[in-house]
Amino acid sequence: MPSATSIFNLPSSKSTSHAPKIHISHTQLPQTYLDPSQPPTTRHPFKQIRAVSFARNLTLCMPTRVYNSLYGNRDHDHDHDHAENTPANPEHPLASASRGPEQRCAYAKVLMTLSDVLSDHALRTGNHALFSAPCSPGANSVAMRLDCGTLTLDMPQTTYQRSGLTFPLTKTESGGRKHGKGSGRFRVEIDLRGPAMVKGRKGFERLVYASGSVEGLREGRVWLFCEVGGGGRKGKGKRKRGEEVTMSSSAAPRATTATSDSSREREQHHPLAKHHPTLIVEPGTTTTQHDVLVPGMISRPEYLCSLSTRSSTSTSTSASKAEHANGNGCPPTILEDDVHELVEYLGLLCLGSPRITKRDYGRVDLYLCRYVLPTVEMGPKESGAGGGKAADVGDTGSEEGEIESGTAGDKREGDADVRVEDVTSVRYSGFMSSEFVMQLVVDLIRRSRVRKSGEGSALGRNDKAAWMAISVDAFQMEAKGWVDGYLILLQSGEAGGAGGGAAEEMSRKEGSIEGGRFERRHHYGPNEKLDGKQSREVRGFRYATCFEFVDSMSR
Amino acid sequence: MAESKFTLRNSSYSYIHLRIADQAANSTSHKQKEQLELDEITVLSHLTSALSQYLGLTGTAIPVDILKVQALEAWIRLPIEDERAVVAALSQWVGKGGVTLRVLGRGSWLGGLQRGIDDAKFWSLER
Repeated sequence: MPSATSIFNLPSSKSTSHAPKIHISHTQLPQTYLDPSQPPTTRHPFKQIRAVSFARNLTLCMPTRVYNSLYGNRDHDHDHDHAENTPANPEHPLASASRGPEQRCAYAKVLMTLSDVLSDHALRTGNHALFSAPCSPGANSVAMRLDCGTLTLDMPQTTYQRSGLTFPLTKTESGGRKHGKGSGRFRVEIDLRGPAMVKGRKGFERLVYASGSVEGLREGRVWLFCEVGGGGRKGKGKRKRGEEVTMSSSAAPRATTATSDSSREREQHHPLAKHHPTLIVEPGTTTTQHDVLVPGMISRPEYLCSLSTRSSTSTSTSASKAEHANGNGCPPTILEDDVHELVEYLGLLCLGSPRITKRDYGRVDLYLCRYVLPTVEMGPKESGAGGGKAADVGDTGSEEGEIESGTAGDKREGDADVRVEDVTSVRYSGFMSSEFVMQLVVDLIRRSRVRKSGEGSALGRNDKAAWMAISVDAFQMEAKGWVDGYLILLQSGEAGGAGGGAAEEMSRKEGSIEGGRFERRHHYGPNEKLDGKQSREVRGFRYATCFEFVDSMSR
Repeated sequence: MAESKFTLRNSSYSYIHLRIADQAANSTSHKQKEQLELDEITVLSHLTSALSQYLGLTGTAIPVDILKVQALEAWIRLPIEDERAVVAALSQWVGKGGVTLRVLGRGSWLGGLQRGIDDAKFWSLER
């Protein structure tokens, strides 16, 4: 790593109070049946997805071979599994009806006022999300959010006092502070589905009055709208009449002629229809980047498992390192710097940077870019974080040789462990609810586990090291302590299977040795061995690592 | 079920998302956009120009890595200690023909940095 020393003595731009950080959690995915209508709530990748209510961008990155095996034969997958979860109205352009590759990011932009929202019963209590952020964020701006009947108003002190709202204030990270960032912001959360929230009741009338007369609340603004609970269990019972209505739009290709008449008739009943929304339905854009260099850390979960030992042994890295080195098996050791590099690599991958492709890497002039691929040394001759780098970028010749040897599977100890793969990325951009992300992730995991004839799982038997990165950018809603985005790395680990060439056998052998060690170290239980017979039972993605970017953006 | 957690702080790099803009011409016709389009060398020469104007010779010594260039946008990496210097230098810089480099977003990691794309358009009613 090129040393990042400053030539200026400027104080650091980050104050310690909200220093940027990444919360990393490494987990094993549940091996049991994943019910898309009831995804896990407390386990980590799922918990994280739930915690970020709206996503702005979503990028899936995976090797093209994994993409093909997951998405290749769509007709085959659309059988019993998905039939049970078809939502009430698949033609609704705003309902993210289909999942997987057909899943579309469907949302609407609409210009209306808060009183428009409050006056319409279907709009204020329906299973959908409305979000409105000020165009120019300033001290007097008000952010509004309506998520399945819960209205959240984030406003300055003056607006709160003028509004005369009596609802209790919600504690926020920055709420009620007199000085500093986010001072004087007040947040009110109102449950519009509550029994008191009906016309004529005092609290509701007060809210309606405030929304029509108080400066800051009465102005028309752009709202983003998306359906929540399209395929989930939550949506089934509580679905409101208005939501079942189809809006006619060019983006609804599957509207059949039989229902079109009645749907057009009912179209006026959609809560948004009278506000003339702009409907946007975007399928994911798929791009492929050729010959991307993938370091071993990405495709093999052993590395990140050693991260967990590292963190559990607190800060005594040297001690744990010595212990690792003593064992003759030479397990991979991962240090904090390596994790930094891993995060950087994943960032570049999701960005689609050409710096990590074989065509570019090592050939770009040092003057333009000094990026070096991360590698963790495999072997007892561990020599700190800087010692195990893939190659000196300046020495193009030798570096190329190492990469070549890496692809051939000839992995010697202490060598660069780099594969060359084509990477396909699918990118969604718009306004997505956490449920959209959840359905996508659950569907991907389920797809990876589908058994196919002749193969172990949807990930073919040659996909020993299937991986996938899911990067999500969030909307900013809080001044401090806000998650700017998260990144989930799904890994399958080494699955058993008949190896083909010598290279495959080699890596299989290596994998099984590491797997055994990994099992011993982490006490995952006897049924979750990576080697031996049991591994053939476990299919698809098995490990998830979640990187949660907190306050990472400078403002 | 084994679950392990770990917190990472103190990134040694900072990442900046830039976009080139023509200050002189307000209309952004297709032809003008094509003329403005960036490549790696252009970005670096713009950055060097901005940094040398603002900080002199020391400014040109800031190690800037160009990670990606796409049409009018660029993503760069630099040591986190120099982030302020670079942002300040870019904010006051106007290049030949009135071109400027706008900072669309910056952060300690690349996660979350793509959010800034077309934010103004996103919050308008157009498609």
